[in-house]
Amino acid sequence: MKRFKNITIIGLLFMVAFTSCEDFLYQEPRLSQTNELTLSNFDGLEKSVAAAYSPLYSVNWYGRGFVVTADLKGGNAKLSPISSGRFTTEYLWSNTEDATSNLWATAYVTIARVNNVLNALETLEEPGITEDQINELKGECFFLRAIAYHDLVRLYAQQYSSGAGNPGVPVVLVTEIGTPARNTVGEVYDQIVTDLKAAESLLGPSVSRVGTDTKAFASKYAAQALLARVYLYMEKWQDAADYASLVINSGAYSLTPAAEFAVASEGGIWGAAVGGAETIFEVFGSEGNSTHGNWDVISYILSPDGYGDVGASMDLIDLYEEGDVRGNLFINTPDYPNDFWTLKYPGKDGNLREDNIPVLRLAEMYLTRAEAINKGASISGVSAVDDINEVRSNRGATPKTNVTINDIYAERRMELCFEGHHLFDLARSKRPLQRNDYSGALNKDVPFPDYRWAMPIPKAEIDANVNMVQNDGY
Amino acid sequence: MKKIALLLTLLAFVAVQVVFAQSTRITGTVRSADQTTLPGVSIVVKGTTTGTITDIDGKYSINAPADAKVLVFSFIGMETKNVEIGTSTVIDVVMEADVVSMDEVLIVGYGTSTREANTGSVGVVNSEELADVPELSFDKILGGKVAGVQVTSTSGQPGSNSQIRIRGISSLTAGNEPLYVVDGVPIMSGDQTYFTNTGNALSMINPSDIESVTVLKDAAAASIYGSRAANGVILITTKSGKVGKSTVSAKASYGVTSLANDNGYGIMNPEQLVTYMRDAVVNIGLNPDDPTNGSYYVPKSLLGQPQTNWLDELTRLGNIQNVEVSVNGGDDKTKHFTSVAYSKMEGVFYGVDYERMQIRSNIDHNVTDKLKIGVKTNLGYIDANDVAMQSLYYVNPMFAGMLINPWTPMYNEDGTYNLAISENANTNPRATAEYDDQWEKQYRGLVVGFAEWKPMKGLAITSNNSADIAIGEGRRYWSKEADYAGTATLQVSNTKYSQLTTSNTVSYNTYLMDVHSIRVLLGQEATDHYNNSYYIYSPNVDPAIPFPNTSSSDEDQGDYGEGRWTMLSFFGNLEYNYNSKYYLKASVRTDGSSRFGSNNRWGNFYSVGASWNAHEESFLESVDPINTLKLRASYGVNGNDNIGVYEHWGVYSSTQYNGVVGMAPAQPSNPDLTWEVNTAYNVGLDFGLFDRLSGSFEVYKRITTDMLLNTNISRTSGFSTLRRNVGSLSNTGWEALINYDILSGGEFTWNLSANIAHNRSEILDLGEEEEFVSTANARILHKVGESLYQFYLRDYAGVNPVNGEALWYTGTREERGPLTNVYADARRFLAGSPEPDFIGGISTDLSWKGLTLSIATEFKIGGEVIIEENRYTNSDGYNWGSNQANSGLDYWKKPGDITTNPKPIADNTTNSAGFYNTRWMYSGDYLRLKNITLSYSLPKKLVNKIKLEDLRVYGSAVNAYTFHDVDFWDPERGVDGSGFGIYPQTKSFVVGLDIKF
Repeated sequence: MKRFKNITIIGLLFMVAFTSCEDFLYQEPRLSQTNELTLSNFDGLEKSVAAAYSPLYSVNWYGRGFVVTADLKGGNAKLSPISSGRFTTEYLWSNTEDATSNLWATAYVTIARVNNVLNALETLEEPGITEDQINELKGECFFLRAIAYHDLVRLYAQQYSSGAGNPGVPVVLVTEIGTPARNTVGEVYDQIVTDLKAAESLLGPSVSRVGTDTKAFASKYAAQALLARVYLYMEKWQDAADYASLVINSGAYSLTPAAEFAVASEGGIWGAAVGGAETIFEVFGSEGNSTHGNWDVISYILSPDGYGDVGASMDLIDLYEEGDVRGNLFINTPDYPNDFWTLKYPGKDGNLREDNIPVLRLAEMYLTRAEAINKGASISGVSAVDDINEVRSNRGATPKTNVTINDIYAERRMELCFEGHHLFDLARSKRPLQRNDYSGALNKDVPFPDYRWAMPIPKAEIDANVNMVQNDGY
Repeated sequence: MKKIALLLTLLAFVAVQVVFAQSTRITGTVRSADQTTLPGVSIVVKGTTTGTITDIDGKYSINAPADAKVLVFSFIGMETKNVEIGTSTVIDVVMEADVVSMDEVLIVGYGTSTREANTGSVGVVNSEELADVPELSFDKILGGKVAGVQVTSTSGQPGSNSQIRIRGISSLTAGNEPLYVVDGVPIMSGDQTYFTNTGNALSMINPSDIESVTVLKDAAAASIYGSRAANGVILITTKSGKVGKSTVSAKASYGVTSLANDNGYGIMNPEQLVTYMRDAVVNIGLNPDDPTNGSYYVPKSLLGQPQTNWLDELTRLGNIQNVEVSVNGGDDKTKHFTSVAYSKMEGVFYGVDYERMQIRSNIDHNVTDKLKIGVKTNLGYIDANDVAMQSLYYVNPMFAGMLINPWTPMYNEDGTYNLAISENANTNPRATAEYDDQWEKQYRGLVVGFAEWKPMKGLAITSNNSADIAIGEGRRYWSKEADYAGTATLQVSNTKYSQLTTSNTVSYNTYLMDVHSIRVLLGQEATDHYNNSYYIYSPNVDPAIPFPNTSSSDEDQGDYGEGRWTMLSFFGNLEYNYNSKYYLKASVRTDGSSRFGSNNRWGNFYSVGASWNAHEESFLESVDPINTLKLRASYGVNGNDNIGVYEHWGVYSSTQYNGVVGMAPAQPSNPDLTWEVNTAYNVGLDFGLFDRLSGSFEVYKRITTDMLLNTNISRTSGFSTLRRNVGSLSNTGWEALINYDILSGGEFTWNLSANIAHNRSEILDLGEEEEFVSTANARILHKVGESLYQFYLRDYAGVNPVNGEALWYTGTREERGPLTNVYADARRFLAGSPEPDFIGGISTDLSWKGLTLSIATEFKIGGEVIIEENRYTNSDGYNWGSNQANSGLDYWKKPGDITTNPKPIADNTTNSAGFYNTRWMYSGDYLRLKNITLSYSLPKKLVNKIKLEDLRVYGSAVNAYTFHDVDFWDPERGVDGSGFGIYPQTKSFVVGLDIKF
């Protein structure tokens, strides 16, 4: 009897042990939160969207690499005499799959973050959460996904104007560990337009989330401004002009007057704590951001007070006429009185580790509309020369009486230098690269077309993805 | 209850009387050699199961059948004695202590076994081998003792960790450390400090308290520990009380320590350095005597200034003190072993010291004759100070001592420390050692409670329950006094580790038809490990109140870390033997680990082993020279889960952007993540010949599959790598062990033992990749078809005798293809592996009367090491403006010179001293005289007169001499052959006194 009792007790103990096994072995991390939990409620989703912006500040994207690459390869910039070799590959146009931009990985991080939210929102049912709140989140996601895909496709593929059927980048709408193949450039642009139109309809003039810099979050106008840019790349001149007009006519933004343009000041564009009246959308730069490049931020590479590896080429400097305040946005140093560096990233309060980087600003809308009109669009009461002069008059430059397409290109180059445009502006309008002020050993001039106008896809992606096809020529 | 027992005994007695009506009653007393009576000695009538044990007074009484001829007396630690019965009815016996028989009892997983019954590969180190060596922890003593066990020190600092690899390295990215089991429960190991390098968890076990260390090397031996046995298991049994008179043993030792330097390594003297620097300036076409040349102005007048030997000033004679007392005793109810130990060490560098207090109390008690309970408690406190080492940092005295120029003064004119040392980033390591703090106080406890219940013959139910706890408090303070900028910065930490384990088994053993022995064991084990840490960084504290309270709250930063893992296991073990000739052992274990995804949390592991004791066969029994001849074979599968605790989870973690808190994916989910599997085969032969020669030879193969690798994934996933189970590697090797009693039995005894092991690893598969650079060490490449670790380096071809430039191979050395002077054009190739080809040790003991000389050596053959320091200390002018190593003196001076070093060039930018190059790779072969001890035990008669039982004095030399060819202090560099800035191994000379009463 006693033995029976013992056996029963032992048996019971084993049963208890077995049934509680899975509970005992379930150890959830407490300093982070599981995917399931984060994506199961509105608060988690809202925070996930806030985090989807932060890769924009990565040194691979607006935080440095993307911007510097576009201006260095485009000929606005050159390696300065104090260069220690950073970005030599881009300067020489000698990128290979082992030495290429890392925007690939960074932009897909943003895409992953918004995809997760968009897919979770499909099934979210949470009492007290309004349709408007959900729509706003979706709108931000669509905007961010569009900007990520646009920057990817214009960096790693030939431009839309060279053929919508060319290989683009994989359009991933549900992020998972997979091996997606490249979509065509046209398919990528279709997705971008779809996303931006959705963002336009879902977003208001600003989002309800309160951050330090309102202009660093998406808005209806940011979506419209990006659409204007995207249509320009697609050579849909009328759509580009229409969307540029929507932003210009919204009254939400005004051009910075010439007296303030070249000065670092609050309310201005450069060195300000938060975006001023001209800024539509910008990347917020701060040491408080979790994504921070430390000494590899944009200001360090572009300022002689930092590394100053990258300066301005005389090809650019020579474009500015006397009195054009944009020409004042360059400095030289006592050691190098004949070399120039841009002043667009002077640091907030002189702290070179913090700078907001403008992505969309009103001047671009005027320049876009001018180009679209020049190429066939019509907007009642507006001419290309009007738009160009609107910009010029706010920059201290003499007004033009008429403008050719080359004047518009030049204006765009002068206005938007060191903001990550010129390489793509050349490519989408099929212009070759011609550099006069160039010290590199090879590839001074690059014809168009040429395989090198699309950057190689990183080798790590080719190796890990069986369906990935490298760009021709690499 | 008692009455019933009495009644049963009486009944049994009567029954026996009835059955063996013609039996003889034999009585007697059993004593040990020193005439103390021995309780608990087992007495069996040979050839029967009739037996008894001696009582508390060593007395026994047994009824032997009339035809009985021999009584067998056996007792653990004593030589088994066969006594002819003859006609006598009173047989008193004196039992002799048996050193050999201690070896016969083997501690194995969840129980004990004997050498006879063993089927697996097991190595044992006994207390005698551990006791004499003045080391803080047993891992430092294991090196060279057990075949196939590679013990690598990454630091010679007191209290530092060791890397132990049993039969090679089985995993690329999951852990490679063995499992440590103390008194039946797995314990925590590894480094558990925040700031210092003194966190070796094993140093909390006093080597003197250890009865034996057993290393389970193959699957048959280890797989009862299943999941965690892939890297082998080290079982530590601490001393228990022994029945008999209480003995007190006291030990004291004192020693001195110095930097080991058996190759004349050191710094240039001032004259040599000035010449070297002036040559370097001339080589860039400048005049070293031109005062306008800035840092290239190196006048001979520098020698006229007062000189300081910085290496001498930053090192000192260290010391070791150790005092301990232990008490051991017990009766038939209760036994106890208690020890108290205190150790203090001062390192060979200023600012490094270590203090440890440790108490152990092992008590066991027989509640009834069927129920035994006990508790083993180990408590300790460690207070250790150090300075930043293990890195090439300016406060590192080992590194700075090589580089600070001799004409740079230690002190200012006012007697304060000179901090304006431009060649060392204005850091004076002596000032740092004096004014800065970097300490860690650890409070540790390991308590094991156990119960053993034997409700019926053959059945035993045991329960082991333990709490292993470590609490640490750390402080790193950069003082105002030692900081050139004069600011005071503070970091403080608090860490806690706890590991709770319960381990419960039921076992049953029986004999069937006298020749079939069967033992079955079933068990369950559960472990819960938790750790957390708090950290505060406070810049600009007030030096008068150097605590976080006085820094500004804006600048203070805090951090918190936490981790928890759990494991649950069920296991079974079956042992069978036929007539002590054929042994079979099988075990199964299933483990669930919280580290793995819900789909694959449980892993099943098993092993089978068999052995044949050929010497028991009738055809060999008569062959006298053969004492033992045993063949063993085993096969089994073990697991490895030593990865981060939450790696299978897909998680979001907190981020900041634009002043807003966000949540960002931090790790991709892998619910399929599961055990890395280690399959092992082992064949072994044990032999014993002529009563004096014994040994064993084993061959093995271990194959690791389903490796836990971080694999590249498409970046479109938002991540770059995912921890997955892919790839495989193998380790193949052999081990030989021999022990020869050259002289024994007489006054003069001489014993020699040696072991050697060979291992070769090979990467079989890395999933989709052919090769990748190690994430932990960028010099190491993992490549399919090659050994696990391969140095991937540029190939240095020596110095061009024409112009003194460094030359590099562009093609293979055999082809002697075109050489180049451009570092970047040098070929990068697989230059060698840090893994040794052979490891082992030779030791010998000679004794004459009370005098004993023990010598233990350790060797490593094959395997390269990299001395990264030499890139800076023999830099051809690259590390311009600082002192250099004397090995740099052989440099090119004029055309035609054949030298090992290129010409020095001030501010050299030619990369002749580049990072990834074979110039800093050396053969890591060494032979170390690890320990030489000469001891003298005073004659018993003499010590008995002063009421002592034992009195022994000894002198010991640790790391007395090392033969090696490495251009550095010491050849040991860690398992990957690449440690840098390390505290090198030291030499110690220790004298000690042991008494027992």
